[in-house]
Amino acid sequence: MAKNNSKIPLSVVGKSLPIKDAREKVTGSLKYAIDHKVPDMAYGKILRSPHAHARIKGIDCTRAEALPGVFGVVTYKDAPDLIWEAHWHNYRGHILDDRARFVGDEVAAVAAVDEDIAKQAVKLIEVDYEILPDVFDPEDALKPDAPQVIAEGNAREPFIVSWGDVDEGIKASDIVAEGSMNFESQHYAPIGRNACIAEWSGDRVTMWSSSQTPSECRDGIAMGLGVPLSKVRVISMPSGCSQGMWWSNNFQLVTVLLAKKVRRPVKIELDQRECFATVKRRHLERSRGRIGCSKDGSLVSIEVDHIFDNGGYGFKDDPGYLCADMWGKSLNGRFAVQGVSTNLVTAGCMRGVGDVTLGAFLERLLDMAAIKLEMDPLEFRLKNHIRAGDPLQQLYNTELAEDYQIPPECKDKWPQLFHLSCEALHECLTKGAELFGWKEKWKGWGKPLAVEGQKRRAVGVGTGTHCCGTEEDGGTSAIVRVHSDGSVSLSCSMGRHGQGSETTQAQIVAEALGISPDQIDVEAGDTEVCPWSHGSVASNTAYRAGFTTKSASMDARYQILEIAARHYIKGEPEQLDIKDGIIFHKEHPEQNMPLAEFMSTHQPDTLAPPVIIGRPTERMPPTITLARQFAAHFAEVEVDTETGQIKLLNYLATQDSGTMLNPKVLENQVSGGAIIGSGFALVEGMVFDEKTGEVLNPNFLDYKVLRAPDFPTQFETLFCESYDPVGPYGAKGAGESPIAASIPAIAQAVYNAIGTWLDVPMTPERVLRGLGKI
Amino acid sequence: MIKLKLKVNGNIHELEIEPHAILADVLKKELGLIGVRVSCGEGECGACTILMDGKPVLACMMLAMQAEGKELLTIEGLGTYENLHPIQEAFVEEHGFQCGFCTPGIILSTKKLLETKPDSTPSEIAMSLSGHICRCGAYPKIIKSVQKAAKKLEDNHGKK
Amino acid sequence: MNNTTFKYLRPISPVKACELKDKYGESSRFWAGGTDLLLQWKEDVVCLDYCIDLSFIPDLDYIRKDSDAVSIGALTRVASIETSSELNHSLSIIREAAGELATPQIRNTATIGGNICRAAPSADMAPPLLVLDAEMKFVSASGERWVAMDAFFLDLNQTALEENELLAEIKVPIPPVETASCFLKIGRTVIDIAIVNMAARMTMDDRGILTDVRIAFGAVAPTPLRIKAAEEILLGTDVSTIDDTLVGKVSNKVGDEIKPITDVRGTAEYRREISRVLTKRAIENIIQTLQGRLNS
Repeated sequence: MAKNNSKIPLSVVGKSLPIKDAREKVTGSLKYAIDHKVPDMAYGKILRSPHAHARIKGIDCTRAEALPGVFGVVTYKDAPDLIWEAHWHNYRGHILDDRARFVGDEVAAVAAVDEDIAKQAVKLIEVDYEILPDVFDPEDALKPDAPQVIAEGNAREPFIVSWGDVDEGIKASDIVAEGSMNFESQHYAPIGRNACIAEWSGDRVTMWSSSQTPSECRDGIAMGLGVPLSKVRVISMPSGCSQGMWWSNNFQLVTVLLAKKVRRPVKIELDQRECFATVKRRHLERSRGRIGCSKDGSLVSIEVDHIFDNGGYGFKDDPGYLCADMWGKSLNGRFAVQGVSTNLVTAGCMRGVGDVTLGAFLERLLDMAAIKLEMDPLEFRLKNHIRAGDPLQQLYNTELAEDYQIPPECKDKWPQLFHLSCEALHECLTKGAELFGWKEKWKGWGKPLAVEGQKRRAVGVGTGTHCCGTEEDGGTSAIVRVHSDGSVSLSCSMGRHGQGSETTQAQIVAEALGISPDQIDVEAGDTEVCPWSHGSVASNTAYRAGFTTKSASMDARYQILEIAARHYIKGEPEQLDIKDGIIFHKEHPEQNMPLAEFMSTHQPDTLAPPVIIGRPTERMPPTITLARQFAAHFAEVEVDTETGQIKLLNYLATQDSGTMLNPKVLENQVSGGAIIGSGFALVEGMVFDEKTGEVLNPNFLDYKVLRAPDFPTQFETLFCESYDPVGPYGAKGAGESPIAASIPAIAQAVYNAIGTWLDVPMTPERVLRGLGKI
Repeated sequence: MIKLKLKVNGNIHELEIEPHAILADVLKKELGLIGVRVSCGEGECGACTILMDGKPVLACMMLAMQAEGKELLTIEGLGTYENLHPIQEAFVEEHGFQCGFCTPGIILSTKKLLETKPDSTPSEIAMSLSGHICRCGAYPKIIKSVQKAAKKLEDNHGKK
Repeated sequence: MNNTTFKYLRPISPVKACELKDKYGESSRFWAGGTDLLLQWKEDVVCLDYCIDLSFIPDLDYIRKDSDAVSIGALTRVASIETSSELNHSLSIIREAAGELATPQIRNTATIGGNICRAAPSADMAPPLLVLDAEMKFVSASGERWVAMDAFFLDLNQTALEENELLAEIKVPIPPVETASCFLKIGRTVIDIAIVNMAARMTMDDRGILTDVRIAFGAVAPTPLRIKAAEEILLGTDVSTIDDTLVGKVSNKVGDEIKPITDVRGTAEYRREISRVLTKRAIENIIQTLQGRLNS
């Protein structure tokens, strides 16, 4: 076990401090990208394809260009012949090319003095389309004669994780269950729109937009425009609720291209319809599989085939399914997933990608096995879930695991790679069950807790997991600068989409440096200041950004103590400490010096005040190989068997996110996951036109989301803290596991109420069909 | 263009606007009140909620002309960055938001609710905020914030 | 293509409003709360050169009760209806429907007249007014006339109002004491446009014989409508003898009579099925109340 696997008393970490921009938010003064303006700005509007699949034979912009007030138009002819690819293959394609791949795809863009003129000009662009055959269903798109959406072909290579021999495993099992499950496409349904402003100055470009991933935006612009990274500056502004939507999106690159052509700053603001129907969404996903167990309920074999659609420009081969690790105790396992292109709006990562869908299906298979065993789902999960130290099957059986060994100098510091670092899921399940009253409420499979007329109440339990950041695409970093008055700037490329990262990171700095969090300011969006990071995705922030922030803070701290020990306080740096902004000798606290004084005092050797810039000096292990976050949710539902309506009555969300950096920040993460997960479970799904693939519900009128009265006021959270040996002060990620645990809990409760399994979302209509009433 | 006299946050503004101008646009663009958040623009999300004669209404769903002669209150007229209104304080302390986009509207609806029924139960609070979408799903903390705000207002009232 | 703007007119009385309408005809529209009209104009669904804003007419915002009826001004806000103590007993379904119409903020601007005159199939205010035999007062520059609610809706988004007429008042007769009513609505979430909404009202004589039966539905046909064939089944029956078989017969009749469509909110089959269910629930609810009165 790693040496630092112990809790130390903490003074700032663990406190529910208000988030740093709270006052701006409650006074309405926080500026999102839509609120941002730069002088002499033009307004852009995008011409979008009315066809699902078409080749642009000709495009005539002369009438648009001639309209008074128009500065210029860009089409594919202006776009470099370069492919740009967003992180984790969320987008792959040209900024513009001569193809339209879904209704709403970008075809051209106009810059004009105002938005009205830009809108008029867009209508004056004449496009001669050659209509191409289209395909919308992911299974159809896999057929050999299917229309090919992208040059690389529709089908991505299947991504397979395998251990043991599943066929042998099934033969050896006492019970076997089989099932399938379909998921409609969930949308981010973003509150707040997004805008992009791009301004070129010479051969350098600055881009402002709301984004969770400033560094990725910069990478994308450099790639798409073919310019060095040094010439691109991204200033990522706060966004409304994003959930994976506002990373780097092609409309931003279109803006950059347009601004380059018209040589003036251009702003493109997306309206609600564009936000819903032209950017990104969760994949359409379909799972099938089988599971085998021995009589005592031990997992013997799990096999899953899963396909998901990438839409027009997604390029993912792996949705991400850390859930395979969760049930990796199974002696044999095989998970095959495959991405496929369709002529629907691009699909990509949404909060909890893969683990929300495939994870929910896996839980369904577990339930189907438990039914055959007549075993309580809680007991079944307790018996089979992964424990600390168990192998993480998703990577354990890959070449990566063979190649990647712990460097000798890190042997004492790092936990065993490809094995779970820590886990409190067991505690979540047991303590959660107690708090929820599981024993009293669980009546057996398919048995409601209570029946009143046509209404049946029942309970369910489900679990969820996800990673805590990954290394793919780059290494995360941070910079800590200590100023002459003792205040501190942290620069860390995280974006700001509301989960309080600036605050939790400042708490880490404060804890490490021994100063008040009020003394710390965080720049999270300017790539000119912030070193590269993945941004707030895949729970990178708390874990990986937190690690580097802590490491950079410790580096700054050491620099301070080293100089202080050299000049002002007798002793070795190790004998010194900082607390409440005062540097002091641990054994002789009377020997001390306030940090502000230290930072402004001319050193005897340099005749200048010290320069303290901390950078991460500690090597970070590949965190995907060791850390996981966990959630276990308990739900009580009431199903009206005549109308099909499902009402959530009671909800308990338990969470293992390691040490809690800021409990209230975490509670919001957990409730948010539970509510958006419940929304997907019950009502959220995009509706596509059968003939054109057009999104038919690109608005809050018909894309329903849960509001305050739709979710039980009887909502509780329970945190069980594990201590992660790598995460900052033992902390782990929290964003995705709560959304993953929601569907399984609700689906199981619905099964117990009505005795049948439903696809997602479990709409009243599906309930009535499941009951054979329509 | 047409003349419009608009009373916002206690100040009277004499404006010249297009007759079809929407109230939210006038408040944001003409008066710079960016706290009037516009998301859906069609009356579903509630982000643009303001108080008109004390009642929550949607600024994206009205002609600016329809607001003439009314008392309008936007979030900018409630408390200031340095001197928050007790409801705003409660939301800060209880983390009644994540991204903050829906927050100004929710705070204004809360003001009306607490004037009408300060002892609202969690379910009543949830119903009274049903015209707002918090996509972050911070509803549990929003409800706590409203309850705390009620207590703060009651305490303040007691002091007077 | 849309006109880029319109002329804004602000009459201060119903008569003045009608005079303006006479003057500008089809190129003008009455603008009440404007919540729906604004969207339609923005989306180029309606064209207008003149917006006749009714927001500043004080005369049409009232709820008045006299001995035999409650009169509601057409420009009364839905929120005022939701909280009106005048709308009690069997008229309380008007209040309930108002309370389920859109969101609290919309209810503070939307008017009952606007909700009805828009003539959307799903208008929440329509079923209660239909079952309560409301009368609509139309005014024009040349006079006024009364139209029964049952004759108000002609087709999708079409009403009996002539081009030059303005809905001024909705008069709801107060039913006899032995009356019970019920409003039900099904949406996908708490806040939703109705997938199906409905109201029912029944009146009995002192022996418990149903003398008056009304069942009305929304969102299952081009307009909100009464299902008279279903009403007739119940008319003249004794409330103490109404059993599951009869209720099932009425529900099935409703299922047969309605013409729901499939849209993004729900399929025709689902709408038909829940229409049957809501019919059953409404009848059971009402009969239970009436039987209770009979026994007391």
